[in-house]
This record gives sequence, C-alpha cells and structure tokens, in this order.
Amino acid sequence: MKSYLLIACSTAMVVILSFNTKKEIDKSSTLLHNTVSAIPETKPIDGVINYYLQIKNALAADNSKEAATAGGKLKSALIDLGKEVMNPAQKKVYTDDADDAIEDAEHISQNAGNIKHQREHFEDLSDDMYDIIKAFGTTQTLYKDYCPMKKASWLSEFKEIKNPYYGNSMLTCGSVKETISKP
Amino acid sequence: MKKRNILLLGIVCAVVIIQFIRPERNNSVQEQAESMVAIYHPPDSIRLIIQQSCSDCHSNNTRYPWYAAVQPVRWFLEYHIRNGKKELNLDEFAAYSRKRRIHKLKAIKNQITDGDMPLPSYLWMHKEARLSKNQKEQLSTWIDKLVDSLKSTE
Repeated sequence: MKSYLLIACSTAMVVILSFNTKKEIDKSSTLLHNTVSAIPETKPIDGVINYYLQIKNALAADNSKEAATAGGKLKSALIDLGKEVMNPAQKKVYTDDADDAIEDAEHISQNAGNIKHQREHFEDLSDDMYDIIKAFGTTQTLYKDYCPMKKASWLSEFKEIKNPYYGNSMLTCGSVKETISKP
Repeated sequence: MKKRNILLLGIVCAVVIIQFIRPERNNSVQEQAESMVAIYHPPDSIRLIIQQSCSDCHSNNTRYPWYAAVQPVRWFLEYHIRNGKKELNLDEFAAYSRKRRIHKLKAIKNQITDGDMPLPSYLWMHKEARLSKNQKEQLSTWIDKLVDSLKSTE
C-alpha cells in the first residue's frame, strides 16, 4: 500500500514538474518574442485586442466554434475594460461603443455553427474596435484592412491580407488602409 | 384510483393558481418621443410594417392577443418581449449612439431579408405580420437611404 502511494506521488511530482518546465520554456519563448515590442502585456486593452484578433483569425479560417469561444472571452474583457480608470475621451468612446461591441461579442459567442451571422456581427464589432483602440491605444502595431466587396473593414496584427468575411473562398481580398502604431 | 384523483386535483389547482401570477403588461403610457418613427418619420408603408410586424416585441407597447390572459402562455410571451427589447427597442431608438443606430438598422435589414425576423413562431399566430417580398424591398430601400444619410453626417 505504502509503496503504491509512493509511486503515485512520485509520478504526480514528475508530471507536475514536467508541466512546469514546459511552461517555463513557453514563457521564455514568448518573452523572446516580446522583447521586440518591449512592453509586457498587462493592460486590459491588450486582452480586448487579443480576443478580437482571435475571433478575426478564427473567421478567416472558417472556424465558427473557435470564433464563438473567443467571442465569450472578448465580452468579459470588454466589461473589465469598463472598470478601469478612463480619461474623458476614453469614457466617451466607451459609452458610445462598448455596449454595442459587447452585444456583438455576445452574438458571436452564441452563434457557433452560424458563421454568416457571426460575420455580420464581426463587421459591426470591427467598426467599434477601431474607435476603442484609437482611444485606449495598443502595444502592438495593427493594420486596418478594407474589403471592397463586403464594404467592410477589420483590424489585423499582420500586413498580409487574410479576409475574415469570406475565409477560404476569398482569403486575399482586400488591402491595408491604415497602420495603427503603438503610441 | 384515489391517488390518481389527488394528482388530478393537484394539477387543476396548480393551473388555477398560476393564473394569478401575471407579469406586468408591456404597455407604456408615455409618449414615444424617442421612437424610431418619431425621429426618422418613415412613410406610412414603413410605419405599417413596423406596427404590424415588429412593435409587439421591439417596443414599449405590445398588442396582446386574447390567449395572453392564459398562463403560462403569458410568461412565454413576456420572455420573448423582454429578449426582443433587449436586442432592439424601437421606442428608445434615440437613446442609441449614432454608430449603434447604424448597426441596428443594418441588422434589421439583414434579419428581415434573410427571413429570420419576424420569428416563425410569431408568424404562426400573427398572419398579418408576414412580410411580402415587396414590403421587404421597401424596408431595405428605406433603411439603405437612412444609413447613408446617417453615415454622411459623421
């Protein structure tokens, strides 16, 4: 009995340790990445931006389920952003756009399997996100892309066009209209 | 046999009791100065569409059918109305930000042209709410124009 316990414990230890070291490695690799853009991701707006980008990438990959998951996370991140101290300009943008953006994120999260509807809300969401990011700033360079066929914009973390409105059927439709750099 | 009688009596009692639990009616007496109709003055044809096909769930005034007096039907209706108003309240349209109005208008157009709204369950009991192809087109054109004018005032 005792020896069983001992074996169980030690296996658990080994597992835990190996997980930890894996995390350490992950961390150091992201650290390496981040040293290029210096500032660590701590601001609430970064969470908002990252979840938005996750939705965008999921839609570009025609992955409705992943878009829904990120939508739920974006919703809570946007609500959390409202608890921050804001300057008057930020406050105005937040009252004007956040409710709308939260609603869009909610719809995206509730419509796994209905990518058409998710994309409709993504269009409005992108519109709101642009103003929110302009007011709250970004720690990574973003590109505002425009799709003339859909007559809609989106924001991306890379220059290359990957159209979230059409996905694989027209992945490269669109062009970069603006570069939003970190302040 | 006796057990069954008690059960039946219990069900009858429950049905009678729930008749007394009535949610408040969605009938505002206030003037609708903030309504979409009041701020954008749509033509009569559009006004009729809004009244017949949208207002029951998307405004502060519902025209209740007779069966709304029966529970639990009323609860079901109130649940729909509450959700409907949360998504879009045509009587409080002026309270939305400019951008949100544009988004709502576009969403209305999409839902109607796709046939997602009015809800099939609603149309089942409200034949007059069904929109003809012509009515859908009228609504789309009106919304397109309105959205363009809202965008140009940016």
